[in-house]
Amino acid sequence: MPGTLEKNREDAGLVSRSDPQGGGLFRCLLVVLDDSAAAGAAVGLAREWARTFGGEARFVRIEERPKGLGHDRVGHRDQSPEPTRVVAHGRTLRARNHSLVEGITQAAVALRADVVVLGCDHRRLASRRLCASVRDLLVRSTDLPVMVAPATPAQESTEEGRGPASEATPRARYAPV
Amino acid sequence: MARPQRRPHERGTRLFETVVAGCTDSRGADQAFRRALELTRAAGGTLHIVCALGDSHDGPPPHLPSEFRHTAAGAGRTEWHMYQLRFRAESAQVRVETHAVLAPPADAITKIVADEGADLVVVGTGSGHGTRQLSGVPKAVMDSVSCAVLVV
Repeated sequence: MPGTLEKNREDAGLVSRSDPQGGGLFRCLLVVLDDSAAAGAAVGLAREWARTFGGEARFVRIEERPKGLGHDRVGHRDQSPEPTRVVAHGRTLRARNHSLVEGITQAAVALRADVVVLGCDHRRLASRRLCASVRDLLVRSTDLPVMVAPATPAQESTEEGRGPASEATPRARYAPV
Repeated sequence: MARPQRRPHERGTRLFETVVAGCTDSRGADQAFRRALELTRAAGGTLHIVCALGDSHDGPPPHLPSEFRHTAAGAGRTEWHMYQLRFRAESAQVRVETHAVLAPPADAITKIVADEGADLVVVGTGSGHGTRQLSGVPKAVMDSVSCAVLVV
């Protein structure tokens, strides 16, 4: 009986009662990149994901400018609905974070992403006093799952003032490509 | 006892071979569990379910007859919830291990991630009142673990 099968799948946790599609694996990953070492790790993770589970990874590069307001989304060509770059403006870090998150959210909608992968400098993802971090703001402003790519050993050593992590650590799995 | 870290080539080629899910009896945690289950199933890996036990850990009811003490009826709320999650994972034919850790939630997850050499941690946002917000647990996990973290 279909009803019984559906009930069994619900009980096994494969289908949600509120989400009959069961969510499924992510088919479109929006990978947000800056110039940090974590960006390389995120690219590696996204490629590995696409190879293992199928689906596609779409990349958006973020930039910041201390002048101006709001954000720009820049595509391959003028008038392109699919952005490849988000330029955030704002005098303060707080303003730029808000601008950045707004741009990322709009890019996720435009690209119909299932998940946002943050390949950003981990210092940028941490809150600072009165300034909410990009990851906090992003979780608040979208219902999409948010994945934070692992930092690379180089980034870890730079950020924490320690020596490079050994190759055996999980971080080493997604080496920059 | 901490397990020795395996080198990448010894860990196989699966993307998410070891997935850790932090679980509580909340809606966000249930979403996280379902996502973790899907990913682990697709990857053919092992799902580690972590439940943190606080200082006020709810053990078996004091007046429970001794013959029921080591059954589901005697399990505390946390153990019972973990038992249910384990059953769901096994029903979905996913390899599963459960860990009840006497520590705050973020510390419990971090400990299991380090011990098992996890590739991915899946956590809920921790909010349950309409708007989604990142609570202290996922924040602390993201700040302390060295693998990818998925917040659902």
